Amino acid sequence: MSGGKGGSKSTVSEIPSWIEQPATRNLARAEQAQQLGYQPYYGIDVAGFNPTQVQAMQNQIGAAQAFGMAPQGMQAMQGMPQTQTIGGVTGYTSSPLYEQAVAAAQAADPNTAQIYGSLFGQDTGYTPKV
Amino acid sequence: MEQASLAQQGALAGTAGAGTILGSDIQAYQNPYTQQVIDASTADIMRGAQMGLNALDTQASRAGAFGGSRHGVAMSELGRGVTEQIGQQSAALRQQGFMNAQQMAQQDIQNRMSQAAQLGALGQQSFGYGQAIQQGLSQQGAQQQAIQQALIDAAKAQYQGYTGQPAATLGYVSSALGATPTPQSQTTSRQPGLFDYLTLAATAYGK
Repeated sequence: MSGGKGGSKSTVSEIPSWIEQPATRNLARAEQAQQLGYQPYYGIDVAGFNPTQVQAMQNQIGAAQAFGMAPQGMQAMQGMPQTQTIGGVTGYTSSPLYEQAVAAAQAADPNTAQIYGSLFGQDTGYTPKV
Repeated sequence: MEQASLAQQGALAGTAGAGTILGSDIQAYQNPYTQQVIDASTADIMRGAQMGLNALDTQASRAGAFGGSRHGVAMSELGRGVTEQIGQQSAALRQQGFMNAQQMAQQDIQNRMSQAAQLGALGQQSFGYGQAIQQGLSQQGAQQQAIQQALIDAAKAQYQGYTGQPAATLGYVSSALGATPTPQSQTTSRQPGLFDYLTLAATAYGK
């Protein structure tokens, strides 16, 4: 409030330092965390067919072949993507499809991709309190 | 499944190839001893005829008419009767033989069709066994796959926790502040204005 004929009155709220300092550090940490981009999952997404299922499917194909309803040489897993085995678990990962989708989107709209990329990856210099 | 298919094919072939009476070799079903039976029957008739002739001759001799016209007529009648009897007997035996052969051929056709039907039933049963085993294998495999999928889902959840941890920890300070009573101090200051000074002067002057 400015001065003047009637004078002025001001009120200031003071925050204790033991609150202000952690809040300030939290804000700095938030800014650093904000720079973390999307971290895709590169592991297995869907469990694959196990040997028992493959055998069952192959038996079914054999039955169809016996009645002349499937060509000879047809395999149960033909046309299916390659599986991965990690930690004894066999399955399919969607990461190749995801990467292809991201690459296609970046190729289709490089400007948006550049803006997207600029949002992340900058080190703000955040130093945690030891 | 291969056996089931072969059984079905055999059943179809058997049904189609069971045959017909028209196409059957009836001769194969004929009694090979038919002619012997006819011959034996004819021989019996001839023996009877001979005995009849002998009696006729004796009778004619006694009557002194042996070799006469009546003797001749009687012998002719006897001969005609014998010939007729032999013919009828032979025809009857051959007719019976044919009917029997035809009946056996029909029975053979029915047997073949029955066998084909049985083979088809066995094939169907075999196919059913195969399908039941298939179902069991599929269910067993599905159970194993479900466990693997549960492991994958757990791993993905862990990864989501890993990537979300930085953002999650930001709320700790806010939560702590929200739970802690926060004292606030207020400082009020006043800046006197012209009227304040005039009032002060007037008050001091009035005293």
